[in-house]
Order: sequence, then structure tokens, then C-alpha cells
Amino acid sequence: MRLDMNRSFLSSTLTLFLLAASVAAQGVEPPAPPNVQDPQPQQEERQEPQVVRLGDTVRATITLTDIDGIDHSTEDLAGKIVVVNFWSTRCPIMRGWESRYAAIHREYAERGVVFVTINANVGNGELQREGAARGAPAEPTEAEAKQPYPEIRAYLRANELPYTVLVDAECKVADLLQAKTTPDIFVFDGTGKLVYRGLIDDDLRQQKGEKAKHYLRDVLDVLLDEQKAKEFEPFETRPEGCSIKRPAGEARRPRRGGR
Amino acid sequence: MVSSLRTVATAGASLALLLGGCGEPNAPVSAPRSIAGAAVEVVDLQGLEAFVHARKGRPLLVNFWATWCGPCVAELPELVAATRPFRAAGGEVAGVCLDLMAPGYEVDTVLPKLPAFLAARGIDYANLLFSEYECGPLGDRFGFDPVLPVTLAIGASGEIVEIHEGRADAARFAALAERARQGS
Repeated sequence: MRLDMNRSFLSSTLTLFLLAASVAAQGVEPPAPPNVQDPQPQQEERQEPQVVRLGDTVRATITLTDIDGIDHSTEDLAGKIVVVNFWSTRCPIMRGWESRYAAIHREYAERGVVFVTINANVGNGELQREGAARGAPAEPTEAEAKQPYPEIRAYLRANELPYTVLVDAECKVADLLQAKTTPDIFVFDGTGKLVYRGLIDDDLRQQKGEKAKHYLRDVLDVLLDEQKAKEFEPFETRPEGCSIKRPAGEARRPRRGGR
Repeated sequence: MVSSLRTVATAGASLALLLGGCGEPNAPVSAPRSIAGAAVEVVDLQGLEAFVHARKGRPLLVNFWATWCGPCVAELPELVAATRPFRAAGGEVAGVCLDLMAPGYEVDTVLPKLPAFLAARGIDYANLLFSEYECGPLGDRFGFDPVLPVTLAIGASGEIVEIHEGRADAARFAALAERARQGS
């Protein structure tokens, strides 16, 4: 079932409500238990925690608007396996995976998986609401040029992509998930728990043949199998790609390395 | 797994050639070649490690970038300008071009274009072309996610003291240089 079949009209603008204890941010290992029964009082103004890590369960209500101005809410995703991908029209790494990711999208959407394609590149003009479709492989049609986000529309048309593209105009969801790249994949199980983050597969150039690891497909196959899903352990791979074009970069301490 | 390191040294010094390493090779090993213009060395992961290790004892900034990466290219002039005092004081800056991350980019097509590309932007520090397609092992080795651009600040002791993911401005580059100078 596609996300666009579950449209919510709750808000005309992007809104993000983090409920107290809605996001468990206890680190990656061990995963925080689902917080479904948490009786703690809700504090709507609370600022922390605001990061979802592997094993955390998202109970926040998040609404993003798509390029057609239609709102999509996490309230519509209850019980569904959800794949979130941070996506770009301009990134050659994303383009390298595009056809395979689109094939996964088509195949697994038919099996009930919801795919959420988010463009959070606020810093490079990709989310320009009007004007020339810079970087798109096709010029926008006259109709596309008159609609918002002509670059995204032209790109989707040229590549026959099935995505409903949501606009993360303030990078709030990207920040919530600590998304870094395009692509950057996040898979949530039916309880809203983040169970996989990282690569689509490890064979961008399709040279590994049978040795390739098809992470996203494998995760979805397991989650769609009721028995296997019970034994599934969340895991992550290192995302690779173009940086999400946030307004300003962020520095962090190194994890390891040296010379 | 076979790995290659090709050195295309033009400005003089060249590194010891090493064979072996991680990641997928992009092309058969060929003899070192020279290209007029700025120095560009072709390295695999081991070659990059050797390059960095050889600079132990001096603070170092390593900037990972790609010609197809808009923010990477946009920040280059600021990297050049902001680190001049750092370099004048004995620090080093090195660029590592990760063009081959993207399908369709090969050493043989990227390398000939790099010297002019760098010269046009006033790049006056060493540059390397990373010859491997996969950058996961690179990220594992140096402790960052291959998110372009990325800049590492490495102290004279060899420890990576700060990682900046994403575009940086002149002030940020200056701060990274200072972190490298101070060390851990």
C-alpha cells in the first residue's frame, strides 16, 4: 500500500510533534524496548530526546507535505512496514541505485510495504518551488514548470519513478533520524521500531554478482515473513552517498581512526 | 581480492608503491604516468594510509571531495584560502577525490581532467584520486561515513581529532586547521 493512499489532511504545513517519551533514544545497543505502554505524562514542549536510533520506536506524529501540497502523517502508518529513503535528484550515487531502488519500491509496495521518499536538500536549490529544473535529466513540461518543484517533477517523469516525494523543508525528519546521505535507508517494522538503517545494497556498480548483499530486500523479506520476523535482529550498515544539503554542516567527534 | 595503487606523480615526490589492500579494484594496474599540471596521485586504501602515515609529525587536513559534488567544489576556494596560514606554519592539506564512488566515473576518464580542474580553482595543495569504487572500507579505516564532502583534522601525533561532514566555510576550515595544530 502506498503512502499516498493514506493521505492525511491534518495540517497545511509541515508539523512535527515530538511527544515526551515518544522517541526512545537509549543508544543502539541494546535497543530500547518499544514504549507502547509508557504511562509517563506527555510534555509537548519537551525538547529532548529528538533522535531516533536503531532499535528505537517512533511514536511521534510527524506530518510532511508532498510536492503536490498533500500532507502525509505517520498516523496513517500504524501496523505497516515502512521504508524511508532520503533522496535527491542530483546525486550521482542515488542515481546509480535509482533503477534498482525503484524496482524494490514497486515490488514490495505490492506486498504492503509503505515507501516514504523524502527530499531534505534545502541547501542546494533542489527544493526550489519554481524556476528552471536544474540538474534534472529532462526539461519540465509546460505543466510541470507551472507546478511547484519542477526539477523533482521532471526527474520523476524522465525516470518513470513511482515515488511520492515528501518535502522536509526544515530537515526536521532528517535530523530526527540523523540521516546523512542520499540515499540513506531507514526501515521500520510494524510496531514503528527502527530495525535497519544504511545501504540499499553493497553493490552500487553491480559487479559482485552472487556475492552482493541486498540489505534492503533481505530485511523486507524477513519482516514480511511472520516467523522470521520474530527472530530478526536490528542492524545497520554505513550509509554512502552525497551529503544531505542541510543549511549548515555539522561536525562531530571521530569514532575511530588515525594514522 | 586484488588491489591496485597507481601513482601519477607530477610535482616531484612520489610515494612508495604498495600492492594489496581493501575494496574493489577499478582497473588493471598500469605503469605510473605523468600528467602536466598539478600533482595528482592515484591511490587505493593502502596508498592513502601510506600517504597519511608519511605525514605524521605534522598537522594535516584531509578533504574528501568529488568533481560531481556541488558543495565539495563550492567549498574548495575557501579551503585554499582559509588554510594558507596553517600551511605556511607547517601544516599540510590534502584533497582526496572520490569521483569513483559514482557509477560512470573511472580513473582513466577522471584523472586527465583533474589537473586543469584543480588549477582552475587555485588548488595549491596535494591531491589524490581514490581508485576504489567502494568507500565503506575507507570510512571504516578513518572513522567516518562517506558523506561528501568530509574533512578530517589530524594532529601531528596521527590522531584524527575532528571530522567535519558536509560543506564547511572559511571559518570552519580555519577552526579545523587549529584543531589539527593543537592535536588531541
